[in-house]
Amino acid sequence: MTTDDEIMSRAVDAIQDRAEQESAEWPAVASGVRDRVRRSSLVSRPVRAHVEDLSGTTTFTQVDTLVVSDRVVVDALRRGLSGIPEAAAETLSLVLDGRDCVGVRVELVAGYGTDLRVLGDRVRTLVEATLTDTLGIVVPVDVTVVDVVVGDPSR
Amino acid sequence: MRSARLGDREAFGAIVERHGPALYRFVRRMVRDHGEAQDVVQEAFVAAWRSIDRFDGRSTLSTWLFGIASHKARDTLRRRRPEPMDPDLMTRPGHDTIDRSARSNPEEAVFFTELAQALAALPDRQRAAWLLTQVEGLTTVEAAEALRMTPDAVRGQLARARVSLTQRLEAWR
Repeated sequence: MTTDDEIMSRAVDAIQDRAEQESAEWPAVASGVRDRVRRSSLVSRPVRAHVEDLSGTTTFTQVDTLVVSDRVVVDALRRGLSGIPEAAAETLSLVLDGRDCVGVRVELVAGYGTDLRVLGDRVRTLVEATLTDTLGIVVPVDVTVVDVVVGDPSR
Repeated sequence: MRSARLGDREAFGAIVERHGPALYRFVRRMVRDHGEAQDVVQEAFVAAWRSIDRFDGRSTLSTWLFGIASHKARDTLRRRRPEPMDPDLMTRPGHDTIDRSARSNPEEAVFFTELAQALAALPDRQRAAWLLTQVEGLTTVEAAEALRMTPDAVRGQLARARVSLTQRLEAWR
């Protein structure tokens, strides 16, 4: 006589035995997923860029407006920070006042043994350079180390 | 994970590759149709991509993804027009048919088909709770998070699922 437990165990085994067969369907499904994700945009906010006028001074544009998605800026910051192996960004956000970027918040996870003061300065410098490139501005950068981990902080 | 939360599509692609096969298996068992399962998994990952910056790490990434997939699968099942159970449902292409394993082990293939029918007859929540805990290895607490239920409610669903399945598979004792 087979017990309830044995029936249930056989049922689970029967389904798990099919996993390999179903895995063969996955590559086609994965391709569809990648396509859909590639085509789907993320919610973004417009940020006003500052441009240099003919006199060489940096001002808000009064006639021609250049607006950049905050995603573009955050992507540029993420790519820049990925070049610092002893830390990984946990949060990257622009502080906006309407369409004007008035600050940047960076939360970092640092590798154990990293000099946090040096790391903070390096990140701040990199963020300032990226903001100058993308928005033409320098704003206060708030860097916080939220965790210190042993090993690769990007994991 | 951290890069994906910051909008890195490549990092999100790695999440898709890692968790996608289990999600697809689960959804396929939930909706019992390859085409619909494909749509549901796509929608689930797009939803995950759009909201990953709000993933707070209180549950595991896997539990969070199962939660989204489960919600989408049940939406799909709700949208289906109610129709009487078709006795040939499980033997049509695209469903859990007697296939390759039938040649190597006919008895096991018949058992699988009857099991698939028994699972299909369970209410959606019972089926989801059973699949997540018994097949995908989630704990009761994780399944409760994924299904937005209390752990006690999941235990209740599991007990009822177990009774229904053992009754329907009575002939295999």
